Amino acid sequence: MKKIVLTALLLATVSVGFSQSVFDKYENEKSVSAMVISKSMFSLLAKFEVVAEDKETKDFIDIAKSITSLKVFTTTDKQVAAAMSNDVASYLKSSRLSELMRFTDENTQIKFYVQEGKDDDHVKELLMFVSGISELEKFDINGKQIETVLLSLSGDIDLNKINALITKMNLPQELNKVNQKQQS
Amino acid sequence: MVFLVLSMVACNSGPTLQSYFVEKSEDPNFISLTLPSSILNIAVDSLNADQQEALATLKKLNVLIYRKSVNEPAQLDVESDVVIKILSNSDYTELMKLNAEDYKGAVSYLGTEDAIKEVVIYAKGGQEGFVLVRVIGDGMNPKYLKPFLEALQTSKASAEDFKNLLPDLGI
Repeated sequence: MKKIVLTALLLATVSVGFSQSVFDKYENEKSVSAMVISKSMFSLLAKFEVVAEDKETKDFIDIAKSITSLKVFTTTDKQVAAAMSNDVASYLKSSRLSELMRFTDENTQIKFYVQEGKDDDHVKELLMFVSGISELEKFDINGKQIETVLLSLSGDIDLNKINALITKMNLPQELNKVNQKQQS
Repeated sequence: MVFLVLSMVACNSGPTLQSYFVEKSEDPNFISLTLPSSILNIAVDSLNADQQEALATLKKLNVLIYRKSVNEPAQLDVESDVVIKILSNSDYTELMKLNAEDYKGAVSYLGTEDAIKEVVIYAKGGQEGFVLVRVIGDGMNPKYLKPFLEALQTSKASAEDFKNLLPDLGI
């Protein structure tokens, strides 16, 4: 019995640790702005809306209940941006994510990676990586220009409802592009 | 197995949020206050049933403020790390955390989603200092958020009420 419990515990730590471990360090990195929202927060957010009358609120409640984590990392530091890019590449090698689509405008790039979920509309994991932002538009934090944004969303995500999430939680509008692909 | 037991023992011997609040209320570098929910000065009779229920779940607020000391500026980061460690080591469920340069924020709660006992908000403002707020209630439920905010809008609390607290703080 002890062996079974111990093995189960070890497996649990390995599987949880593996999924996002390469990005965890960005949660406490000096030149990175990080926002981490847990499953509990989404669960509570869904419960705040006692009466859902409009489609957007209904969609938001549905998608919120299905999210297990949301992390957004932003950096103004070019070296950290390069490190992030490398980390994304190595994460992709070890995970079951595949590229969904990409948009390129000279040196600015938006890439979406997903791990497919239960059907065409659902994904288990969505990774959005935007790089070279400072070349295109000037978004700054405290006078420094944003270079790279990495967004990681996990759960049982319905891509058709992403818009409700973006609107209610003020996420980057670029995320909406995943929906375009699904409709084509 | 032994390692697991050892690490569990190590976790339990650290300070809890409650003991941290108690300890720091005696520390001259901290401002510590407890605000009863009556400070909101809301005429309960003028509220509807939902709003009254919502308001009744809030009991009080514990507030701890640390301002960077001119004599010991490094102490800010030290104390900040202590708080973060307590919050991550404890029974509190993390809701969200924000980290932007030297500004940090974290929100967590104690209890279950439908019966929240405490909500803890931690905010560090650069090198200025940090604030730790503990909202203590009984059966706080997310469905009460909207009626609670509505009740809050009827609050007649004024600067006068807060001024009356100041002698207790030694200000």
